[in-house]
Amino acid sequence: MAATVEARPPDKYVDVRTQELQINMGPQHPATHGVLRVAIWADGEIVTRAEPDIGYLHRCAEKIGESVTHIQYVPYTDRYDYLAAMNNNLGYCLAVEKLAELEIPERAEYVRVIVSELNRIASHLMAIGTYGLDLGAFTPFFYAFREREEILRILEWICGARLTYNFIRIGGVMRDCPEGWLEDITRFLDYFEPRLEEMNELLTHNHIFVNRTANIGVVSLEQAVKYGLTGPNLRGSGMRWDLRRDDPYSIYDRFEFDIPIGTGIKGTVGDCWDRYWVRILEMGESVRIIRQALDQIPDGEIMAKGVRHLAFKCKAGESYQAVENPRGELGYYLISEGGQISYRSRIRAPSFCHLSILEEILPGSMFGDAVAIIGSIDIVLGEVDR
Amino acid sequence: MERLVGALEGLGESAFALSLLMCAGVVLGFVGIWPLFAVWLERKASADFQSRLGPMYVGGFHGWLQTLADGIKLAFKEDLIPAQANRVLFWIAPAVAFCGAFATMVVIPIAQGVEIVNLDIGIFFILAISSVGTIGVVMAGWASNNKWSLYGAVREAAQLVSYEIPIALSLMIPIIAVGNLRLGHIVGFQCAGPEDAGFVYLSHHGWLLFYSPWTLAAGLIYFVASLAECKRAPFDLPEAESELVSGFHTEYSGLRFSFFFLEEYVFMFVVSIVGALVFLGGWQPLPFVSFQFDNPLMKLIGAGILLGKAVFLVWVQIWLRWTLPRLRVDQVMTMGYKYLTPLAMLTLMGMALYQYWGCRYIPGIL
Amino acid sequence: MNTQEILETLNKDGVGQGITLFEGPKDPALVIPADRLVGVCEHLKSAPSLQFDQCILVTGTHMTEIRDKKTKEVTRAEGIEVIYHVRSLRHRALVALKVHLSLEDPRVSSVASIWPAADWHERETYDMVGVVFEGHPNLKRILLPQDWEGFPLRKDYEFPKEYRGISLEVDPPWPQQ
Repeated sequence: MAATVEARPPDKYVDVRTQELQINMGPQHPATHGVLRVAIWADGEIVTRAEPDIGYLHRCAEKIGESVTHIQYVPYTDRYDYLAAMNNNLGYCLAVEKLAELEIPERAEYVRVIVSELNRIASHLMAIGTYGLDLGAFTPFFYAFREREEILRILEWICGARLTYNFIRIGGVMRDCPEGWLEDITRFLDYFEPRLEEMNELLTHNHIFVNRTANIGVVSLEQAVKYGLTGPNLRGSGMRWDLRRDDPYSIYDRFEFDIPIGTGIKGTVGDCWDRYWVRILEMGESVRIIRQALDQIPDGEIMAKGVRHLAFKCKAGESYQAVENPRGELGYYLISEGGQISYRSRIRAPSFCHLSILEEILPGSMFGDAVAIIGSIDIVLGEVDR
Repeated sequence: MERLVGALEGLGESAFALSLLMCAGVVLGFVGIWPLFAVWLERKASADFQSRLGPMYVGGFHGWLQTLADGIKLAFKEDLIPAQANRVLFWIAPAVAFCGAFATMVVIPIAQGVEIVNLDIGIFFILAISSVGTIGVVMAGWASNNKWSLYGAVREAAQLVSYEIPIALSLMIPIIAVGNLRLGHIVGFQCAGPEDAGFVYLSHHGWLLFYSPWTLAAGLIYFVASLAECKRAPFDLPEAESELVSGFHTEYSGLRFSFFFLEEYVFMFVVSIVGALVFLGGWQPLPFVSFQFDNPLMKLIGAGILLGKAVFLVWVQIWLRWTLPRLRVDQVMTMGYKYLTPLAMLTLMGMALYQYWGCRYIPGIL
Repeated sequence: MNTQEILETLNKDGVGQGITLFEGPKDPALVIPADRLVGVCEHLKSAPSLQFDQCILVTGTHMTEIRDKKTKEVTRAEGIEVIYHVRSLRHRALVALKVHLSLEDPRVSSVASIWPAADWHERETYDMVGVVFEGHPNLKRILLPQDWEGFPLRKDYEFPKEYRGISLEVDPPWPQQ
């Protein structure tokens, strides 16, 4: 059923004022996806002011980056956006390789693309599943996790870990594909594509779901650019921008894929439903990329020549390397003075920037909407606080 | 049961008190056992929807004793009362909430003529007493001294006030046809047949759900409104765990929490069995064909059929809960005031006119 | 559009005074005098040929003094460097802007009014390196507790022994096995 929702006038709910109530949403709250605290000033059910408060999960990521070697730092990057650890590994390794001027073997590049895109699907499944949970739909969560489990199994097969992989290493990848691994991915993709339809039937076009998300939390394109939104959140607002296409890193320029954007099918461009829908479509695009990579993958080495892992040294210099994380632009800005340890390692975490828009878009929404909005921007607190 | 009460009444006051205690014991026993089954059913059903197994170990067969184990765990948990809470209200709120659901069982006939009290205002009694539970919920939310609980309590109050109207109106519609508030009479109307009927006969009216288009609409309105009345998804706003943590029972733990839990499941059963009695022919298994339920064996079978219908309706509630997302609070209000209430009023009017003209011009239908 | 071309455009538009090109071994950057930062940023954002509308990252770095080993000349003065990465979505360009500040009194005007995204980044830079952004709407610590002392990402930072009575010693106080 193609349900659409009319935009509601913003002043519809503020004709009766009551005493303002300040209420703490979090740091322990089921809908804040971790330890985010949002101080909310509410007038009845309507949020009049919101102030995100972060730092509960601060683990001194950048300080650690200045005290461990480049090689040692790769496992730390797993812990920031723990739902997309492969992409985090990839970003950091690319940044270091740019400084060290390393040539990566072809096969390693393809394996990197395959695992990061699989990880992107897993991350989006998590985002979609928990979004349903935020809106009170329990069952889609389990369906999403059933699929995600398969991906985790595939990734576990190649690197032995299910969440924090440390698989993409400086100079290549940890190990070559096991026998039957690539065929298993094809099998998984064949199984997975029809399942996306199932998810659409269950949640995407559900009348209540559409009513809860369409026209809610509208981020205009102007706002999205102003607040530094990237990734699915920027695309949800209607901007066709994807670093994989617009600033290609690794070997992404060899693949053909579309960039889905929000078009306001159910409501306004840039509402919660659009952001959700972009993630659904992106999973399909990731499937396309993986299929192409599986077709093209050559034989060969998986680690660059001459990388001495125990005494890996970078050349002096500074470089900014951004990758398209499932959540947005993940950037590593490294300053090296030569030697094994970064002088400064700055992380541009997408969720950190996305959170700052809450102050702007939460006021005026209702409590239930606030939950829907926080869920729709898909934050990972490990990355926000680093 | 009624006859039993009547017989004991003759024996004097002490025996009468004893009989009342016995009845209370029967109800309490049922109220204690039913949630064990309902929670297990909910867990297994939700597991089935979500491609999981659910409880599998405790008790051997599909974890049928899991709920009992959890109940024992709850009973032994520490009973915490927040320091700033209003202790008295906090203490009695679960009991008040529980009583509301519990007391309605008194007037429910479980088979033909088997009920504790045959009140002549049966349905009215159920509507009135079931609202008492809300007072318990509001008390709990207020006494907890927690803003989330308060939100839950206010939502519950608003929701109940809104949905009390359509639920009452939708129950009035079959009553127009029957002309009696006794639940036993309502079922009797649905299986009324010719004087000289045998064991199986064609009933005059059939189930009230299929009696007229108006009662069919009333049945649907009743079901939707009853979901809101017992705080089930998609109307589970008072405890919306992703928004309000746990709503009104955020601060409750242990046995006190389990009282709210029991209340929810007992109330689910009450609305379902009332729906089964009023719209689905009570203990009559088929819509238009009736059986004589006059001997004890048949009464037992009838009770089984009635319980089966009630369990089916509970299962539908569970089914909806694990399928649908939650509505937003203003959408719940819109649903109640803009759609269900006018619809129920229209249906009531339609039914009244139908009954009026029908009686006059189509003789034999009544 | 690379950094060189951006500098040429700025010069052509008449806002390039004092801006130099930093050509490190890897990424180039524009070094902007601290007092002209806001003007240049406004121009970067509004000029049709530039349109740098998205602030990606604000980084603060404590640069220690480096002397040439032989001549003992200072090749890099001690100070704090604030690096802004801004991106033009229209022109698909990314540019790094650098501002050198003194270590004793690191002050620079805030660009949060130009790019709201810089708001939280500047707060983090203040939190970690101690750069004071003048004109920032809400300059307080963002990741660390409000009463934390010192700026952890400065190279001369010493980790406190305790915080509010909680021991922060690395060695555990209990006996080692």
